[in-house]
Amino acid sequence: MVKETAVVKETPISSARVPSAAGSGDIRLIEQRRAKFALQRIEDALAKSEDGKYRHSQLKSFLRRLPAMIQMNGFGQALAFYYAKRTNYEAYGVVYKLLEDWLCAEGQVYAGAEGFEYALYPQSRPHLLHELTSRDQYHYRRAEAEAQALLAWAKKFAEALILSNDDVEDD
Amino acid sequence: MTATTHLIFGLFTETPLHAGGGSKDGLIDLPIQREIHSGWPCVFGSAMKGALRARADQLGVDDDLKVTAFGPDTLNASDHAGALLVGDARLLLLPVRSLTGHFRMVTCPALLRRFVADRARAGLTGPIPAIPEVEQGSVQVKNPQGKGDIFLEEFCFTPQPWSTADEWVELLLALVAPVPGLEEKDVRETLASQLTVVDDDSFSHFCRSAIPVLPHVRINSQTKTVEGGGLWHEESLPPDTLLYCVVAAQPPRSKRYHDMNSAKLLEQACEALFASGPYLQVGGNETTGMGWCRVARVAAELPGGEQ
Repeated sequence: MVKETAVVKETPISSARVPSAAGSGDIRLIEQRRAKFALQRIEDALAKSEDGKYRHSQLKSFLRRLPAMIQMNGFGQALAFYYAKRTNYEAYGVVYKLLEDWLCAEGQVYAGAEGFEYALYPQSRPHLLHELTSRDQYHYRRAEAEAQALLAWAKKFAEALILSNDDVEDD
Repeated sequence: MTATTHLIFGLFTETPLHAGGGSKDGLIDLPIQREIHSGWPCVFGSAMKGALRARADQLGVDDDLKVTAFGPDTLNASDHAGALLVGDARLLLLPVRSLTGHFRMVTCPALLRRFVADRARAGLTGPIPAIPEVEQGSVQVKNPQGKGDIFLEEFCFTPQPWSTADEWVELLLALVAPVPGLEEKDVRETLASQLTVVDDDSFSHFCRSAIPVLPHVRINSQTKTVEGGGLWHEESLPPDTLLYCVVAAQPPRSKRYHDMNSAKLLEQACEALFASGPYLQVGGNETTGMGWCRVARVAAELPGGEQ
């Protein structure tokens, strides 16, 4: 289970594009905020059109795979892997971005680090990886626990909303 | 009150152990059993009792003794209760990989404190070394000099000297059953060199991140490719984990053994279970070689507190 340490300050949603970690005033539980954020991101992704680089089924498969990968290979390693793969398979980028925007949002463990634009530029700066590698191991651990808690929701919503189940090829 | 006799089983895992905790926890499809408040892996008493009973079945232990010790089958459940009380198997040492060398056997003050309490409840006597006090970011080991920093998983710790390491090694060694061909001296030295105490918070984290997760796939034998939905992740306790389990016996309630006292019954049950070898299979995946533990028995000198 994730230990709740930080009390997230209630602030109005700052931008429509990147929902802040603190939701509107009627939401109380951190779990509800995680769920809301994850659901929003999965729905955003479903609004994207599929092409050679992006398929909804890939997003589901990559979300399913990440929690175990974090536990097996370590948080930083798993994130770096997802970041590296984002140019060939956009769904990896969507997952990385989900974690980055959540962990760098206000009231979160890496608050203050700005996320990059939602369009996944190959030359964009990996803020979350920078934070992960420059802050101490207690932040790292908290970020890992928080990421797992968010992924639990994202994985469930992806399984609920993405029905196609093609075999996902991966190099 | 009836006189209860206690002993503590030391369970040293020789193969991965998967005592299933049932439903998904969102991360892992098949998680292991854990204590809710601490997140520490454990094996619940009912699973331990089932494992012991299954061993009795397999070895063809005399029916009367089996029913006396474990209770009658479901159809006759109201006849009498079994005489054995089997507690949860609780974690004591967790093997954690280290970048800087051989893996470490890791524990924390909270686990040691609970072990001391369990020993007292079971009526085990003997001197108890002081519980180490560990600062955040450091670990205590027997010989820290010349080691430099110790890495556990991805985290870096500064080693500090542990003054009572040798006394703790003796206490823990009693829970590791000897193996023919392995000298006790070697086992002691190995444990002393690997034993590491981290702070409670770090240990909580290792109880998540240092537990092995294995992917399993189901292959369609026609196409020789993965079947749709045939990928799942399974958690298991690694080999070289040390757990312990408080077992007690009450005076038998069955007709045939009615005149026997609890100490004698416990002795007979253990003899029947472990005379052929100090081994016990616990948890799932028996047919793929999982769940084998080496069992050490530490007898209580006093009647325990569970009267």
